[in-house]
Amino acid sequence: MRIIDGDLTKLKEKLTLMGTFTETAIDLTIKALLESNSEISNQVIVDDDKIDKLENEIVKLAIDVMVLRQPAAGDLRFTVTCLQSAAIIERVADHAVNIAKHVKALNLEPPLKPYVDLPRMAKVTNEMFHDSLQALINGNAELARQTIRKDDQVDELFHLIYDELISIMKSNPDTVTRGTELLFVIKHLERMADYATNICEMVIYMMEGRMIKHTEEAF
Amino acid sequence: MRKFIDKLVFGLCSLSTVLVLGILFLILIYILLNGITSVNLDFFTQLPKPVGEEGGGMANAILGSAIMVVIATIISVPVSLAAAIYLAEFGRGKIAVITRFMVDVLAGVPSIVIGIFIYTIVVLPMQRFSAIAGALALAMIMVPTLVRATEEAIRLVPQTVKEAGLALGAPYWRVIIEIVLVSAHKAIISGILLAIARVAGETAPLLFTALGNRFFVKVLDRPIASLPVQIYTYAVSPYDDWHRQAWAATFLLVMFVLLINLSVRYVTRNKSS
Amino acid sequence: MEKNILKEANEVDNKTATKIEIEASSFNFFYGAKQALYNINIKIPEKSITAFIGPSGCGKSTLLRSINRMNDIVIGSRVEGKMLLNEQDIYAKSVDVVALRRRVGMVFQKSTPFPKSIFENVAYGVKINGLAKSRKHLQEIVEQALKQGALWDEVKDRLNDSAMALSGGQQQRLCIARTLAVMPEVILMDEPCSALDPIATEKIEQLIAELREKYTVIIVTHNMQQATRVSDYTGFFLLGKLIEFDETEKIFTRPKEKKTEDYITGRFG
Repeated sequence: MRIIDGDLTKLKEKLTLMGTFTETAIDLTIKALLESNSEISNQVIVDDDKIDKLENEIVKLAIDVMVLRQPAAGDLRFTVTCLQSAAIIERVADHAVNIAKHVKALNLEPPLKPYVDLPRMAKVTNEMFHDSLQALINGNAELARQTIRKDDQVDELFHLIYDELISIMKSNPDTVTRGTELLFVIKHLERMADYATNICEMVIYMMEGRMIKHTEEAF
Repeated sequence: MRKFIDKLVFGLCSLSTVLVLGILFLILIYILLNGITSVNLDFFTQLPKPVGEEGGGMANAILGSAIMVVIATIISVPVSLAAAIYLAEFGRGKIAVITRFMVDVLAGVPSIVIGIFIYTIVVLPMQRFSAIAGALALAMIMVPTLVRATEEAIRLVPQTVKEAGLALGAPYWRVIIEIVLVSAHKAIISGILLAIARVAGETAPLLFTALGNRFFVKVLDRPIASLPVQIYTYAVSPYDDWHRQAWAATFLLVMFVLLINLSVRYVTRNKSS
Repeated sequence: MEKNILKEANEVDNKTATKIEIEASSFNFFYGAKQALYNINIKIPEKSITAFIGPSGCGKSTLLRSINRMNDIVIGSRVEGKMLLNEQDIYAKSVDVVALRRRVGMVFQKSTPFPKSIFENVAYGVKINGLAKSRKHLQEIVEQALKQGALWDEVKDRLNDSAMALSGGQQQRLCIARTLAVMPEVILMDEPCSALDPIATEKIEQLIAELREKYTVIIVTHNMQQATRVSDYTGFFLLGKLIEFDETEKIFTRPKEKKTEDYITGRFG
């Protein structure tokens, strides 16, 4: 066992924990949305502190590893990936919090319509994030690539729901407040899916040494 | 118990040291007392007087020793240097092994045997005793000591210094002379000085080669006087005056050796930066 | 001139466009019956700094010393294959080894000042090779070399002092200046900093970094951080074989060979 192995294990553990908390946040915030439950939303908002704290810990640990262990090759890529992923996961958690806030606003009025496509979009986004975390923790580049491909579905659903909401709002001014909140919600979901693909790109970098972010190579 | 053994051993060592130093000291004092009274200007400048007459000196013996030692040095140093360089640089082949063995053997040969050897191959064909024969005998005695000391000195020069010279594009022989020998020069000079000190007092070989002479000698192919032989001659004679002069000569020799050793210490001193 | 780490990540492999200064081709080396280097093929670009890394006994020093034929002085050494300096095989029969060594300089692990003055040390190679046209020219060359060696300011007032009086780091810079004075094309360095303290090491690494403008430098080092700080290319050796050779940045972020990765991440020796 090398000295650095202990540090890398700690990094992985913290990252796993942060991912788990964030997954829970996403689950809860979607549940709050679909069940119109502001209590759950409040829970999500409060629990976000834990996630922020973990991000700080991971960043500090990664920097320590870099200065004290001078990692190279695979170790270096792993450390850098942890650093970037922590930031990404924190933002995903932030979006979950934002969705929770919009849900609370939504719940001041009755639901706009039965949600059909929205749960579907939420489900795919949730899966994508979960899979991206799996790929990260297990170093699974294949899973990462598959997950990246799923982003198309999310984008499709986004446009579908967007168009529907716009047409509803155009026809009835009373729906504008709720419609707008929902627009924000789907925007947050779409961003979360994007971040999941970013994590997957980092996974491919970590495993294969190639930076495919901002290139066509993902496909 | 251990402390006692420690003290015992330490005590024995100290005792031995005192004993040895004491004896050395005694010898020196004895020589000093007996010799110093006879060391005067006459001693250095005058030739021996005919048997029975008072006075006279050992000027010719001093000069003779000096001449033979100088010639012996001139002969032995280049030869030894060359052999030492060869041994240090190429010391792995069969020739090197044989050479080293021969040098060791030569080092162990008693000096009188060397004298007889030179007698056989130089004195007899020449049909006379001579200074050159004496010098040759002394040279043969110096060579083994010089070769060993010089080889050692050369070996002490780090390999990398040599390689650094080669790496600059210097030919091998220049590296040896300008770098290796220069690096080793202190040790080499010490070796030469000590070899000189060794042969300055050799008596037996000179008996068979240079013989001795009562006068100054201006050529090299005649017998020549030397200090050790003169000491021998005078010491076994029945004349008190000669005895005193022998002491003086002994004193001179001892002083010479002391001077050489001091020079060696001077040469090898560490110039602090 | 610092190492340009802002090169594009997708820069085309330009080794074919850059002139190759040194090339080993199917190069094998034997110490008597024992083989030390196995089939080495390597192309070292000109005016760059290359590091040879690898565990002890991997052959990196042997290969280094083969480039200026310093191994010739080892009895029983034997070579197969080609070693090309500027496309000429340096082991060809017609090659003058002494002249070769002027073109390929070497700095050793333990600094090796000659027992002469500082001036004479630097001047030695110049005089031997007859490079100075006059006394004044010689002085200029010595001054220039000492300046390149980052030592001039410290010794300019005491050029006639013995070189042995300098500190370890200064002596090593003197050895570098001495090598530079004969204007070689290539400079070989065998663990030049391993006997020095960190500050002296830093000075010498800065000096080495500047050398890449004019010289092709190859450094053998067992300190991987030094390789990353200083070199453009790195070659990893193991048990007499060249395992991988590439740009330093690539070797240390995404090596192609598992053995390379294992070595640089400390998974063995």
